[in-house]
Amino acid sequence: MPQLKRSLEDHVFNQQTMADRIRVANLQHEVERSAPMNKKWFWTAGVAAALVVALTASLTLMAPPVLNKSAESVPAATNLAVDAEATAYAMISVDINPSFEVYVDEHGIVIKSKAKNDDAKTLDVQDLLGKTQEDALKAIIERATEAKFIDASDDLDDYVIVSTVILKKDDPDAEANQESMGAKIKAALAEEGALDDTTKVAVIKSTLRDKFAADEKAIPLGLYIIKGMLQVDSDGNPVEDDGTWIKVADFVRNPDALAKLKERAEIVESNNEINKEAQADRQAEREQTKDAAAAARDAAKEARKTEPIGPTEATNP
Amino acid sequence: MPINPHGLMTVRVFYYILALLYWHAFTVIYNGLMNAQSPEGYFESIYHETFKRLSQYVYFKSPSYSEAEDVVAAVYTDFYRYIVKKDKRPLNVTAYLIRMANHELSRLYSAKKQELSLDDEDTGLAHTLPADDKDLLQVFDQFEKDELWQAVMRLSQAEQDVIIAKVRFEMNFREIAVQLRQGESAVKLRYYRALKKLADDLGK
Repeated sequence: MPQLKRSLEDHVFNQQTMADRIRVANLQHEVERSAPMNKKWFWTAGVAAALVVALTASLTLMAPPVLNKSAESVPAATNLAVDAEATAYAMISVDINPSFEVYVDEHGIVIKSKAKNDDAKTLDVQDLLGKTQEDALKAIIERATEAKFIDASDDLDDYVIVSTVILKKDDPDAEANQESMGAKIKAALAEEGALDDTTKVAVIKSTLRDKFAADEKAIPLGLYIIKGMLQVDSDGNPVEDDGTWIKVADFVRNPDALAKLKERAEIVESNNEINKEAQADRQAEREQTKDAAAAARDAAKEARKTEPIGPTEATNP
Repeated sequence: MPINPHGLMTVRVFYYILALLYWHAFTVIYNGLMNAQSPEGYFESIYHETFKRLSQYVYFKSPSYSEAEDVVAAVYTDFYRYIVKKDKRPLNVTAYLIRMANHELSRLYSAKKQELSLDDEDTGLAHTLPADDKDLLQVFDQFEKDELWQAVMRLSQAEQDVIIAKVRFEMNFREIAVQLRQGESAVKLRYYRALKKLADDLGK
């Protein structure tokens, strides 16, 4: 088959991608309708029972049965929610504060997203289902910025911790796939316009063990990982665990902690040319101000040197 | 001898009940046959049988391929939820899906597919074009799929349309011409020009 045809089949009406999209949309639909479905079931059963009683009590002839009966299945909401996680291939934890967990299938398509704390519940992430993992991450960062969880207007760097975990422990290609996932995420976030100039993303490869440990402690995976970095000091000696959990913003304010993060994670920054120019201009302004202040100090020092120390004839005739 | 009205009524009621029982038996057997396959299995088989045809149909009715994909995804999603899950089995599934697609398209779009330039009509150059495109397509075998795709995206919309229709959907020039409401020669010319442009772009 010609390579051009293969390329077009991959990118235009890709049958597998479309099937994944339909599957996710239907899964989401089932989750949304499953809670009210239980109430509807009981109402339907109650009305049906009343009708049967009425019919058997009377001599009225039955109406013909409907050809296409409605076969209402009763999927439990909790079963469907668990199913999405159970079938997920990987999980991506996004910690800003707020914190999210995004579950994806083997093709990197989002099949479930979960808010992990109260701040996260204020952002709507249900529409991320069916999107690629890269688009989902960009959307979360964008919404967190709009909601001011990330302050793009100041000059302080804001960090987003993105931790990836492969959930299929028996997959022989797990490591390679996790590398590939990380590379795709980094490439997408490094695209022009994806990040503000002060927003940085730390992409960390994590393990199932860390995920289970974080689940056990009921905290987001990213916060669990950065907490672990603080439990060893710069000399490698263990530090006593005081039982508190640190926010990402507080963590990165600590230079030692930030250095540890940079060792462990791969940091992605804005590649926005316009923002880079603005950043360079601001940097140049700061340098100018610094130079002007230094020049003024030097001039004042010189002036003090040339001034006489004691009284002069003019001041003391 | 006068007819007993009560007896007549009883006979009518009896035959009516008998008819109802036969009808009920028929529907049970019919539904059993139709629903022998699980909903998911039925949907999978329909999806694979009709995907190409429906995609092709919607593609030529949409402003761009990405919007066409959205329409096709919406049609299959609705088909699964409101037809398959409710144990309905249309006799002519393709026609049913196309009707659903028409509803979706008329709801969303009033823009028509961009038509080929009239300059391409009757240029008299059709006889200069190659008989088939095998040799031309082989030129692209040395490139990566993503590289090819990026180059296709740099073509004009009209050029993308004919390349996708010819290569992805394997339509012939006459079929493409009918869909685009253009002459067959114009379509052929546009196709080979687009291939050449693609090759020149990748050759840089």
